[in-house]
Amino acid sequence: MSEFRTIGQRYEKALGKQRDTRNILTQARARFAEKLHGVDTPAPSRWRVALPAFGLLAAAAVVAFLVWPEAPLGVSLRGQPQLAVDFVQAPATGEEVVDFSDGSEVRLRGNSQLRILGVTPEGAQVSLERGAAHVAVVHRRATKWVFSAGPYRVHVVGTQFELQWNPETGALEVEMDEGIVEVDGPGLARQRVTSRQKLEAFAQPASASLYLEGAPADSIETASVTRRRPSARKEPATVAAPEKPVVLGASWRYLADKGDAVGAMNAAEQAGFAWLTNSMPRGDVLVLGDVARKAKQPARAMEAWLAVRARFAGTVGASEAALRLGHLAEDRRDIDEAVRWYSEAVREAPNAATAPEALGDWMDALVRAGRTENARVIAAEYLKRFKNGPDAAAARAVLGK
Amino acid sequence: MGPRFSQTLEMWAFEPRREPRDTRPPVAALARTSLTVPFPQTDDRLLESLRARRPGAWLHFYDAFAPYVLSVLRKVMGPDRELEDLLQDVFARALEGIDRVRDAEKLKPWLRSLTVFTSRELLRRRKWRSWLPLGDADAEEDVIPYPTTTDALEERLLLRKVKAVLDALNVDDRLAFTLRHFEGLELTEVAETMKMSLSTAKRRIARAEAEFKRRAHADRDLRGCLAEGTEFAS
Repeated sequence: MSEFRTIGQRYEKALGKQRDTRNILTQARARFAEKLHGVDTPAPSRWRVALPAFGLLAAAAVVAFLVWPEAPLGVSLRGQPQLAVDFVQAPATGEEVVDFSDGSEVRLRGNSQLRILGVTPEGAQVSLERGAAHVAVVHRRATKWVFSAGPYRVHVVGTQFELQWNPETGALEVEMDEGIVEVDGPGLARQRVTSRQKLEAFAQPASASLYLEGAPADSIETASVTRRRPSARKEPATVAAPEKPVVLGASWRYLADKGDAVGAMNAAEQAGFAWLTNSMPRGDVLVLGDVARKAKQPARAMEAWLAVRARFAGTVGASEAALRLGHLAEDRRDIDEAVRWYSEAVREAPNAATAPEALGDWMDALVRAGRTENARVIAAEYLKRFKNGPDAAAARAVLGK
Repeated sequence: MGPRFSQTLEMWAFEPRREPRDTRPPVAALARTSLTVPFPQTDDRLLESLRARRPGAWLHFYDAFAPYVLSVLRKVMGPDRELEDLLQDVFARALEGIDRVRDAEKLKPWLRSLTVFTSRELLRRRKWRSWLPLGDADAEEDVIPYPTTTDALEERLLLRKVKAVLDALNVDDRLAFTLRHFEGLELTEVAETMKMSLSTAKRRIARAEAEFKRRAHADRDLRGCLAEGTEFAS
């Protein structure tokens, strides 16, 4: 055995230096938590009888699925299933949704163009010719999806993300909701982008920056602006075609990154605040709302976060927006409204990373409102779910423990 | 038993305020502190909670055991781009099979066994794919996700070379070998983990050792590592 001792030790040491451990644990935890949704409650006993039957049926279905010859995925334009989909252009003020037969979908944002280059049983090759699209690919055992945008290629397994491509400026943005993609292109070789990260890349000259998106909402006023890593590209405004709204959008972001909330809001107003909230990726709109709140423009902050809730209903982003709207309501001392938003945030994403904070803030708001009995119910729920959470001490105080 | 959480949501979410507002400072301002209290459950209580599908138990289970599962996965698979999928698969299987675990002490060995069998499926699928006449379109892309900055080149090379040797072994031999030499299990533990007899486990490990040595001797660096091990042993 000792013959392999040195090699084993060196191998283990080298493995221990792999830097993706935390990422893998976090990603797999998020996926596992999704799987748990609705599972971590006791099952009725009748299922114990019915489950084997379902198991047999499922096994038969799997066998049939495995031996059945696979056909390429079907593609259709939502609302117009009779049309063959090859090239899609979304209207200036609306969206088009391309549905695939495996349940995947591409939601093409306003004024954007997309071309389906090919479909296979495992996936599709799609080219985003300009604009933005939200992609939701269903994860299966064998999936092969490639999205191209100019010189970039985004390899997908099973994930949801927002893709933006501006051919005039050569600017690519990939903002992840969940899962992992890998991006090839100028200056990038299989660059991994994982959940809550955002990649910004520029084709000419080749450069790229990877951001960690999101921040604890208890420090919303500054966190989402200051926690971003400094971009390698300090002058995003040097890209061409300054009359394009997307370039002006980069300008507000640049000012926001510098901490100039008022300047960022002025830039956003110049670019068209409503246009930005209705066209930018989810994370950017949330940040724009943060900037508005910091610049003492609560109406604009509310507009941005309500836009997120309307455009990304049912996603974690909608819940994050609800949490922020709760904080905004607390700013104006409307505790009932805050309670309503916090409860929405918890109800919509009970397993999200923001859930402990939303539940804690909900309890806190109830205490502020003097609704102590209600606060005790929430406090008990908090301790049941997040025994070691940041508001656990507060919950115990509410319960008098 | 109090109301279910979903019911409390319905009950309290939109209820108008009934009492005069309290002027006391918010609780969070008094006590919003980070706690370092460890999760108090023993494996017995954890197992009971898992089987009862108690809210939060499965995520505690994940947090407690995922680092260990990932460590075993790394050792048997080497650096691999599907580690995250495998890790998630292991816990998904655990979710389905937890009712088969009767003894809390068996929780960790059971999870290790699930890990090994989940890895085995993927390794076998890859072997089958490599035999297909069309080959594997992703083979070239399935590279080791090396860190790009500070790790020493030698370590990266070692990982690549050891993984190449492991990939060439019979799948079951590889698993037995890595559990024995990289995870450091006793022979009986290897046999138990792989659900095979002790003699089969010994035979597989011996076969993998011979093949590993044969292939490692063809490489100068790996040969050096083996020689160091031999000197250490003597």
